[in-house]
Amino acid sequence: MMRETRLLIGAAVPGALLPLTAAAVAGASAASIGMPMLWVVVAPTAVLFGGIVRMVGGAWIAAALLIIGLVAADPSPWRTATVIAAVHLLQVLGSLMLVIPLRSWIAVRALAPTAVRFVLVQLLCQAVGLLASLLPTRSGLPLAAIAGAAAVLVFTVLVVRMLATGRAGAFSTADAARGADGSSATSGDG
Amino acid sequence: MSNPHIARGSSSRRSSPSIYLAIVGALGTAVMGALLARPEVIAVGLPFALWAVHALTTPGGGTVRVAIAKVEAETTDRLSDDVVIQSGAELVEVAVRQSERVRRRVFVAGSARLHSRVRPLHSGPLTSVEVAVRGLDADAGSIGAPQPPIHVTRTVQPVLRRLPRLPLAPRLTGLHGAHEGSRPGQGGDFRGIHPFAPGDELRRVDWKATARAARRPGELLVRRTNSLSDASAVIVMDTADDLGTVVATWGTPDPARSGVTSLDHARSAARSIAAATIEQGDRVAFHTLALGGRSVRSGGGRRHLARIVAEIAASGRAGDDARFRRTPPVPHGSIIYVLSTFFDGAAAEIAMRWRASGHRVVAVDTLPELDRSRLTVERTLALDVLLAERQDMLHQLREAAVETVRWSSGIDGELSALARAGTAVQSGVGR
Repeated sequence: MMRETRLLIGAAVPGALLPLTAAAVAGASAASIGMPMLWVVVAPTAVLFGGIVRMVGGAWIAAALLIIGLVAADPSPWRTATVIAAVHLLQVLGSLMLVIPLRSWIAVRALAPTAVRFVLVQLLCQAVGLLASLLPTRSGLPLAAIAGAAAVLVFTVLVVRMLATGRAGAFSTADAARGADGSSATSGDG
Repeated sequence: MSNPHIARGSSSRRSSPSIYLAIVGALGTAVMGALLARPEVIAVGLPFALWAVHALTTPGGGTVRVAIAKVEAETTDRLSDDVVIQSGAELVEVAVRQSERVRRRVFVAGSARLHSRVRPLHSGPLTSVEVAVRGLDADAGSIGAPQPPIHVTRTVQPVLRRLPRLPLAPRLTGLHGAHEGSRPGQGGDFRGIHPFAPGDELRRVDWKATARAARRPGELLVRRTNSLSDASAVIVMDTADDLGTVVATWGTPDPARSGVTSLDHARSAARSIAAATIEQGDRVAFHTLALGGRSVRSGGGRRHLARIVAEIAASGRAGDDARFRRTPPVPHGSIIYVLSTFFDGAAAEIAMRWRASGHRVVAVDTLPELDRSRLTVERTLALDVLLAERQDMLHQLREAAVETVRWSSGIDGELSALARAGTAVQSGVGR
């Protein structure tokens, strides 16, 4: 007997798969970076709760827990790579979970741009994460000083660009004024 | 000119809270990594930062165009529609309501085609699919404005029942038809032998009768026959109530659990009576009793039947002013079928008025067999009172010489009995 209503959208996955995936990512990541068992349970639970009550933002709670777990542990390249992938995935899934209800369906084709963008961003971020893991941290490179220097550099570049823009604008204004004068002189000569 | 099946929405967008959370995450990891001299912690915030920048700078996919295309299904017991979505958005949220009750929400790519299939539970007008959309970009970080819904309304043909014989109108009209008329003409039975008169056709001369019974030389006798005439039927449908088999669903818009409704019966009765009337060569008109309701003037033939069936299928429950009825005009000497549940006195009053003016009126009770399950004691008592009042109404109709039948499995027998009774009465009084 035929169902009373049907809606065909092609290959699709249920919306409930998003919080389940996010919870699995949070739990597996927490376990793999060696967090205590309590937090291994709390992180996916927060994600699942956030899947039901969206205002909680469970995915971001789990991401924060993973970052705290990373900070609490000794620096390690694979741990950094795991957390970079996990927080990015939690950010993407959490953003989708805010608008996609549990009982809805998502066409697989609609997730293709998200997957492609995730891979591209991960390639860049993992490379940066690997470089950052190789930097010496305790021996005498105070990151606060580096960050301050970077901030000064950025500020300087911005100021120079602003001044250059202002100067160029001033020149263009002067040129325009001179052009106007010249045209009036030409018409006067004629 | 706007098309109800095509919509094009605005392109205004808003940011999701996830963007602000991503910014907080990026700044938090940066500050934490800087304070703790942990560059890898800063690197963890990089996906947050890139995600937020992308979401803030993405232009959005513009407007979302959505259209509904009817699909001719291979079977008549289901309705198919295609929902075509075209946009530059990365993801489109589609809220769908099928068959006026089932709600679904799906997320599809920016350009997609959805196929909706509905099995109608009732006859009559049905909004088979209603769609509202909004575009999403950057992993739903950028949310488009929801667009006003569009819908497509289909009509579901009522069930046709074969009615072998229908009661006849009290007065026959015209010189064409399938019924024996009362005036001299052609096509009917033998009427009598008469002297030849101007206007008689020579081929009507009965030479044997002339040889036998002519009283003067040169006198000719002709055979005369009755004419064939047609009758007029009027179908009047009361659309004030749509009451289902399950009494517990009365007053609630729950077509899935209501069972067969009184309007299903009314539409089926109207279609069956119209088809049987046209089939026996008579003229038929159709009216609904609601103010501003549908009307099809009297006529005959298959095209006219198709027009009437289309109007019957498009007749739904009347609006809030359904308690105020109109009295449609009917041809003299018609037989009028009043299709109603007769719960309130309006339809019965109009039927009695028509009967008093000389029409033959058949009241067709369209209330289905009732299912009293899940009723409280109070509601059962209220139902009993309503049914008692209805019985009283039907009794008044019978007292006013309005013939009453119930639209059920034995309706063909009841109508045949009415036809026989009507023939006996008419042959007694002459036509």
